[in-house]
Amino acid sequence: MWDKKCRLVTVTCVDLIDNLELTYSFDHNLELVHLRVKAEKDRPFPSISGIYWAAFLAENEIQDQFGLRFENLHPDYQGFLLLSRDAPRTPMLRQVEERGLNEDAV
Amino acid sequence: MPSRTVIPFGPQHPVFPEPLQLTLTVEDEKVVEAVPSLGYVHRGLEKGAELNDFVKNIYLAERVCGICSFMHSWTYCSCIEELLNIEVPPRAEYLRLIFAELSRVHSHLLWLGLYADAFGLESLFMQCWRVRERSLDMQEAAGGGRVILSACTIGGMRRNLDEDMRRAFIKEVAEIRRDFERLVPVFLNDYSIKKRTVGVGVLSKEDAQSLGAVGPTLRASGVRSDARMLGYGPYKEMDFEPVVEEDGDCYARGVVRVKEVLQALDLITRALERLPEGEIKVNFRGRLKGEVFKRMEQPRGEMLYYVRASRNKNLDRFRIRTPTFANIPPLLKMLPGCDLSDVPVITLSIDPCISCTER
Amino acid sequence: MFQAMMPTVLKNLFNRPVTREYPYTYREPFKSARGRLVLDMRECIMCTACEKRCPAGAIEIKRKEGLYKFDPYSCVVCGACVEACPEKCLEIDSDWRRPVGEMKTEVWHIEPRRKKADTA
Repeated sequence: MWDKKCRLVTVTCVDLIDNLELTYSFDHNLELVHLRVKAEKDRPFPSISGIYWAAFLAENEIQDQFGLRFENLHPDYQGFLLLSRDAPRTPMLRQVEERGLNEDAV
Repeated sequence: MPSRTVIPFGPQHPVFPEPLQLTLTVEDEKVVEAVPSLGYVHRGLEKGAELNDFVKNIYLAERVCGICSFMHSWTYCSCIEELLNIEVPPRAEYLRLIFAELSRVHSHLLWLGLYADAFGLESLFMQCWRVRERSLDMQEAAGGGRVILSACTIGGMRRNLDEDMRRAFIKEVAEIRRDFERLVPVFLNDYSIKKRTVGVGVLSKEDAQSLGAVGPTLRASGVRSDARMLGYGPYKEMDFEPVVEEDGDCYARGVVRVKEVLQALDLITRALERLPEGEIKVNFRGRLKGEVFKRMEQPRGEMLYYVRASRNKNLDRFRIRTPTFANIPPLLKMLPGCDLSDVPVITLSIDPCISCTER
Repeated sequence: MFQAMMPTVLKNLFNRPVTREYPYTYREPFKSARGRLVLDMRECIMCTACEKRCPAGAIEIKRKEGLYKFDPYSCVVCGACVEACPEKCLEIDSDWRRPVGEMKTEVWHIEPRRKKADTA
């Protein structure tokens, strides 16, 4: 992807209950190319911010919203890019919906 | 060895319309590092969209951003239309283009005003906003609101343009053009503006590409890329050609936007002249199933929507990648090496919209 | 700069200001502007179509008690309820809501009507 001079568009994460689905979207001459990976929830996932540095924002956002840890992420906001310290953690996960958002706040 | 100082730039700063914090490490007057902190206006909108009925989400998507709200509703509606296999009537598509380009005109004029304000030309700021007011009046007369139009709906449009209004619009667009053309030479030729912007915050073509810059930031660096070239809606019939500048500095980004205002006015006039007759809305039915990625060009750049649905009424995932979200890494690349006094101009030159970024 | 801006500067010096002194001079709203929601409860059949469509949750209907509550300050004036209403008792007025000191929810009591009585 890097060699072909693709432009990173974004990283999208979807919660499939058992695991997380990451979709990396790239733009190559106005054509969208998607790469889809499954990630386990409690295992750290390798970050692409070493290659595409611009991915750090999207990956930090996923870390905030889904609680998926990224390895070698720089700069790493530790899950506090968008959320404040007293906000509910990992609000985009499905279980949170069942539990209720407010109970999750510590 | 010059001493290093850390300066918090924002979240409340006179040049920022919205709260963004940049932690700048400066060596004397030179910036060496910039780290952004976001999250001051995070609203959890994507989560809210999952809990909502998908029809109600039009109004939610519209409120992602106060400036490009029409583009958000258009993109959302076209996502749902693709999932439900709806063919939108051509008149509705043309109306959407007209409103979208109108919001591009007013967004760029707003930005040009703020930009003028950032390097201290207060009167130019006033003149820009005065011209902008006319386009807002057009939106209010036709769409019902100054910025939040609520005119787009799934399957078409909720507002129509009658013949009198269409004629009045063509006239009004010509007048906006005349007013704006008086300001164009100031932005292009003025000595003090050039002094503040030429060669400041340079982003090379390679960096723009690899850091994922979008919109005017990308086009000012010489990359010919615009989501409108994808030919969604009536753009395929418009012989659309993007505005590209080569230099990649703040001046080039300003020039791109000035030219895009003129281009958008052109597109509106052409669309108004060609406006086809017919229905503006089709009814829809069916179940939402599947996933769709959709890209559209906002005033600030390319925006990506991802909608995934398997349940009947609610969405499984709703993701918005707004242009500013993609433009922050290039901004961090531009800042190191510049003077502290240039930081406001450079930061504004990407047209930051923080509400968009954090949703 | 001087050549470009001079005509504008001169014009602005001798013309009237383009701004209005708002509370004293008042611009008439555009005819199709969305200003505020006006409710006419005489025709309401308590079908709750407006409640279901409202994206802001500004309308609350309790059918059994015949209560119709409308909170004008959470209304976003989108007009979804107007399109949904089968009896056309909701309407969008082009004039906007004036500032007030206290936010009040508007409440109506409506006698539940039977549908058959209408057709008979």
